[in-house]
Amino acid sequence: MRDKRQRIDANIHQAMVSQGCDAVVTVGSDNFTYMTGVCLPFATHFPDRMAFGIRTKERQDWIFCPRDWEEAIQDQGWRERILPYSEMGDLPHGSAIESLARALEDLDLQKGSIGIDHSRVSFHLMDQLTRRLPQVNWTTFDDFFRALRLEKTPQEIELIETASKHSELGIVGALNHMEGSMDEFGYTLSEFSERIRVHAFEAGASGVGHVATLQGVECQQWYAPPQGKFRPDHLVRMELTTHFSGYWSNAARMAFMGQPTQREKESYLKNLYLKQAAEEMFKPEIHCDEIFGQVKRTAEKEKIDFWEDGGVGHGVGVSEREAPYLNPADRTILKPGMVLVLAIYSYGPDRQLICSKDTYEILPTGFRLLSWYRNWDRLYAVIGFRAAH
Amino acid sequence: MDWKELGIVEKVQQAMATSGYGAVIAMGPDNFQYLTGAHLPFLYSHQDRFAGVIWVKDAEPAIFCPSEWTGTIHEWSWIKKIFSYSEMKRADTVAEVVDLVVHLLTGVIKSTKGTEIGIDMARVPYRFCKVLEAVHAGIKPVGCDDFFKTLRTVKTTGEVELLEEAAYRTDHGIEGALHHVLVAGSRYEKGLAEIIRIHCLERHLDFVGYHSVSQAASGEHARKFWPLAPKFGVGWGKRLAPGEMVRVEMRASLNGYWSDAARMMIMGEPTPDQAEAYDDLVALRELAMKHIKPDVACNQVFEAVKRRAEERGLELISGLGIGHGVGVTPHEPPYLIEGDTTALVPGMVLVIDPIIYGPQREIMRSKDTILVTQEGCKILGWYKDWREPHIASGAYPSGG
Repeated sequence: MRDKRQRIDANIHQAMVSQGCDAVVTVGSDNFTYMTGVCLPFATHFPDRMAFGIRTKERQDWIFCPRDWEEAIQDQGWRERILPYSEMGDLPHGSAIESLARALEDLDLQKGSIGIDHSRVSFHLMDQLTRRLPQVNWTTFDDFFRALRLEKTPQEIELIETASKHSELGIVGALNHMEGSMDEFGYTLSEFSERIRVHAFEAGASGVGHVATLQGVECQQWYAPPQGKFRPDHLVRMELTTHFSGYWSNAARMAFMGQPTQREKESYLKNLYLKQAAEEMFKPEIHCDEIFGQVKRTAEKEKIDFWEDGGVGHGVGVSEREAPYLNPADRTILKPGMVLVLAIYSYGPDRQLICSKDTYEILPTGFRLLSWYRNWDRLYAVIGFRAAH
Repeated sequence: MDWKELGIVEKVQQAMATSGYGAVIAMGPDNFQYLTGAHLPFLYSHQDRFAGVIWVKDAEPAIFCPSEWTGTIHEWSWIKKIFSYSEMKRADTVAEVVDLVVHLLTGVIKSTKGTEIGIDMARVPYRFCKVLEAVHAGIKPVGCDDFFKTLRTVKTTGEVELLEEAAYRTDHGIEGALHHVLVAGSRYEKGLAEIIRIHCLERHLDFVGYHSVSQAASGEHARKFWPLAPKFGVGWGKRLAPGEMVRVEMRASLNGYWSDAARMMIMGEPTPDQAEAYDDLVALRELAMKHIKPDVACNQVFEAVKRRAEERGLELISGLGIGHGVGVTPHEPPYLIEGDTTALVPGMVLVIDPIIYGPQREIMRSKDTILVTQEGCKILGWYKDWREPHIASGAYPSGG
């Protein structure tokens, strides 16, 4: 594991040295995965449970976790120390904090300067740590993590590309099963969503996150739980995030139940037009806000109704949505190695939100598409035969 | 069930009236869901974004969230007063959210000075509080985690109904899937994990991604909690073998209220060792239930089970306790552990989960969801009598 992560390790070490930190502690599950290379089972979804990573400037690595996560960490190739903490002696946070504090004392860091991700650690946890170790100088490491995570290593890009492929296969695989029943689609959106998940797993995904299949009024929303059955002559948006060894993909695709009319085709093509406008800007030295500006200007010029509330894209890596953000507030400069998800939402004929997300690696000369399994230049029509796939 | 029928609103209003708080702010996704009724699984994973609820005493509660989520939350929450913040103005989103929170608070509370404002400090990021302090010195929030914990640990009748239904459908889903396993058949762990999920979805449990998970671990794989890490909840390509113990697990939700289930199956007639191990597990569950009654502390239940395990020479898997609450999350207070002195109260819903080893060091667990009643407790949601494991047979019991 370590040999594949040398660049990340070196970058973290350099950041620690420049910040004058004796050690770094990660609490956020995203930063934890970034620093350790370990993906935890549903860590963010158990708010009373947590794992910490510690790295000292002498490059000692320790992980603290609940007992039932220990083997999962070892099985992912972690060969450094793991200290499973008991959740029996005190309420969960208390046990975790005490374990961490003792470890920092063992490492002779009770008077050290320690970086921590203040944007992830809860106030309560930080307060308890400060009381328990009053002489530690806790400094924020958020900006370092943000900066470090922006530019991916080749190994990270490979994992994101693999995850993106899984998402694509998940969506296309599920769509393939729609084809046999044109008169009465039969499927509920819930079952279809499950099929997306199953196909993503069949393709090799190690986990599924956000899954949504939206049609009709629900398709006007960013998210709604899958409800009802597929109906003929409706636009459908499918959204899916998956991870592979801790690295995420973030996908969305559009389909039409039956043969789309000109107005649906045009709406879809308008969305692609905005994507092309953004793609033209995908090269080093461009600012993220400029990409948003380009899309917005194009939309205004072409009179394309686009939903700008969430920006037009974001980074992806050890989380499904992360910096940089393609919005007017983010002046981050694009650099080779960044991986971006273009997530442009425009309106369909009945105010449906149309989005066909793609994932890109920024190259020295432009970009590389990481997410295509099939050609999405045309609106996917569910029209009753499978040869088109 | 309509969210108002759950009785959360009245309960929170009453608690606010008798609390010392002028207002409370909830930013943890679990507390957010509890107060708003909006089950949005992605909330946990967008860690750079913030959604929260401001509940001012004697005033209508309000939600704050990124503008992208406004429509969704409006549709799925019973709170219709929603204020969105833009992510377009400042790179520092935290500052933007803090400004909105301060604006909302000062707009409703005549004077924030001297007004106690509670916030779920065990959830809210440290940085948020520091920015809040810096932006508005007059607002000094205090932790109100216990306020939310007290509210959430004792369920309303409506919540109990949902949790019972979730537990029942999950149990039914598991048992329905296990019926498809033949001793000499061709089921693989992966396929079994999938049909458990599918059987649960067929029983109209929510479809959500993230930690809605099924698992099947057999034989030596059952010695691990997560045998295919990092493929959590995917299942191996290993065929179930005659004679093996199989642990199956499923977490699912119904209208945002969770089940947390695990059961044991034996591939054929149990050996004496397997039968004895399972009986031991049943005895520990029953012992826990015997001790669960109002006014008994959680740690007393734990101690009783621990003592019995020691007397019987059983190795309780260390560090994990023997159960926990369940509600808008699958794992929440109170905890049946040494350190939790919470007194049990009628209306609490718990998952009883002592974990021991089987004859081949398999991790054995068979979780029961129970309701604390006036007289003691009762099991919620058994589809079958789990004093016996599921025993896979040589032929489908009824048509396959």
